[in-house]
Amino acid sequence: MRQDIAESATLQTMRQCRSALVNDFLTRNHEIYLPSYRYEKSPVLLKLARERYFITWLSGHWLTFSHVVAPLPPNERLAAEKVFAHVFLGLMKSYFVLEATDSRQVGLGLAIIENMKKALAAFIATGEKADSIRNELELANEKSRVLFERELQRLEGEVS
Amino acid sequence: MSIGEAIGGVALGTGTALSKLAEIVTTPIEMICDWAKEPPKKYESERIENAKERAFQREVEMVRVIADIEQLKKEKDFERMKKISAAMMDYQKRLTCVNVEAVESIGSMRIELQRKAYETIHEITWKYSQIQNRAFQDALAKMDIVDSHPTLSEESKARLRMRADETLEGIIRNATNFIDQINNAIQAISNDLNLITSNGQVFIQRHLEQFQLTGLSGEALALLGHDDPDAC
Repeated sequence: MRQDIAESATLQTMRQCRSALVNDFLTRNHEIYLPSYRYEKSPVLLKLARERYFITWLSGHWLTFSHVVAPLPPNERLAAEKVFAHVFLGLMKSYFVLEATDSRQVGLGLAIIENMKKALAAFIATGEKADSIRNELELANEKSRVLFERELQRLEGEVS
Repeated sequence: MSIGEAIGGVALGTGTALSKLAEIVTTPIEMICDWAKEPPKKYESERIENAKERAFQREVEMVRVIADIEQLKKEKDFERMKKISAAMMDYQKRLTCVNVEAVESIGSMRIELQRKAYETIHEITWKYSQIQNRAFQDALAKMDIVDSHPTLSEESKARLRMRADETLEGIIRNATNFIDQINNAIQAISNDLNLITSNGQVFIQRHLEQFQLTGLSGEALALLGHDDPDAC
């Protein structure tokens, strides 16, 4: 009986998260679609932004599971955690986050996911800052070109 | 040596600007690329070496545990100890497994993040160098226009050359600023990665302590029984 409840909670969590993923695409979630335009000239930033979305989605599984099992009594919750941890480890393995054989390694997987989220955000921020510096440089170059042209035309005008 | 130091003193007068410009543009970018490329390579080989070392240590540890258990078996209360020794063996094996997997996972994450850092920095510098080269070609074109202009007086030409020189100075100044900024970004990324690794080591320690705390309790042994004992 306890095993049935544990499996049911696990399946419910996986279904909710899958549904959230599909829904994000159907409703044109900004986190998925905006980077395609914002980073259309930066393939690396686009890749990082997509990875950040999927890593965030992955980490959301544990939170969703916590909500699903919240009404259960402690002993059933513990049993459900053990079943879900196995499934979640399998999911993390498919995203190359962690290759673990023990269900209690799930804490390590969550810590790795959090670190990856932070690092991806830092890389994207670095890329955006570089874009802003580059825009300033392009502006400075264009200004210099226009000022030179203007000066040349003025001096040519003086000659004629 | 930081990239900022590497180019220190290069932002000279415009007299040497042309000869120095190519050096300024290409050298730091190569250095940035080398910086980002080398650590993953180095770390990968270190990881392989460490894995070999850990495998060896694991073997040594297993031999030691087996020897201890053999000793226990010789004792007269062998039957009573039989179950405990089997559980201890299983526990030690599992703990070694967990340790190896945790260290490997943290190591892989670091390599993966370092690869992403390299790709990010490489894209940033490549795009910058495109703008830089265009600005440089523009500056040379201005010089050509001035030198070959048929009607301008020498005074006007000197004035326009000064304007072109200012552009070159600007390019050098911008290159210096850009490289300083990238250097800061690299330092920040490098610090983050070091922090992640040291946090990972602390995490592994804590993680293993938790395993040790629950190690030989009845519940833990029951849980161990559900996982694949031959894995790892």
